[in-house]
Amino acid sequence: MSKDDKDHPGEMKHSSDASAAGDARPRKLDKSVQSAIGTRLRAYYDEVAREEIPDRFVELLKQLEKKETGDDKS
Amino acid sequence: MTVSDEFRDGLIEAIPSLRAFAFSLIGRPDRADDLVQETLTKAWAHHESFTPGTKLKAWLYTILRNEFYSQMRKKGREVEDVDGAYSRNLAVHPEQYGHLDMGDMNKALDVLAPDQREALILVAASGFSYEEAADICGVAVGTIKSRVNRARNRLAETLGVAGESDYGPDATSEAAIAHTAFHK
Repeated sequence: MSKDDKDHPGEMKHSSDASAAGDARPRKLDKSVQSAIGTRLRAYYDEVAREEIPDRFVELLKQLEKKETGDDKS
Repeated sequence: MTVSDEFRDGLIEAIPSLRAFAFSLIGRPDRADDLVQETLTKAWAHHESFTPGTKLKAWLYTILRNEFYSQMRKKGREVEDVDGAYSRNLAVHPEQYGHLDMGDMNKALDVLAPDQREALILVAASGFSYEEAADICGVAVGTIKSRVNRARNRLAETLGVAGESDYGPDATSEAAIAHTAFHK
C-alpha cells in the first residue's frame, strides 16, 4: 500500500483535475449542499448494493470451497 | 488452515457492497464485477492474514482498492485515457436511454481524481468513518478529510447542486439508471 500523505500522488493524478489540485483551500460547502450530495451518492450506490448477488459469485465461492476441500484431502 | 464458515459467510455478506464500491470506482458494471471476483479470490487465498475480530468489510475494501490501483498502474496511461474517462462515458450513454442522460452521478464521479473519488465514496456512501477510510487508503486522516472536501466541492459544481432547492427527484432517476446500467 502506498504511504503517500500527499493529496495528489503522481500516478493517480487525473489530467482533468488540474483546477481542483490548484485549489489549495476548497470552500466549505453549505450543509444542505453536503447532504444533497450525500443523498444522491447513496441512492446511486445503494441501487447496486440492493441487487441480488449474481450467480457468478455464488459459483466462485463454491469453486473456492471445492478446491480447498480437495487440498485438505491430499 | 481451512477457511472458516464465519469468514465465508462474511465474504458473501460483503458482496453487495463490494459491487457497489467497485461500480462507483469504475463506472462499468462488467469491469466492476471482475474486480469483485478478483477481490474475493484474493481474500480467500489470503484469509489467514485477516485478523478475526477486526472489520472484515474494511479488510475487503482495502483489497479491492489495492487491486484496482495495481490494475491501473499495470495498464498505465491506457486506463486513465481510455478505460477511465472515455469508456466510462461510453458505458453510460447507451442509446436506449434516449434523451435521458445516463447517470449524472456516474459522469460526475468520473470527473473526480481517483483518490478523491474513493475517499468520497468510502465516507459518504459506504459508511466508513474518516479513520477507517484513512486505514483503507493507507493515508492520514487529514488527507482523507481534505480529499472528501475537494470531492464534494467538485461534485456540487459538476452536478450543479447549489442548495436544497436544487435537489429534487433526480436521485431516484439516477438510481434507476445505475440499476439499468448494471443489468444491460
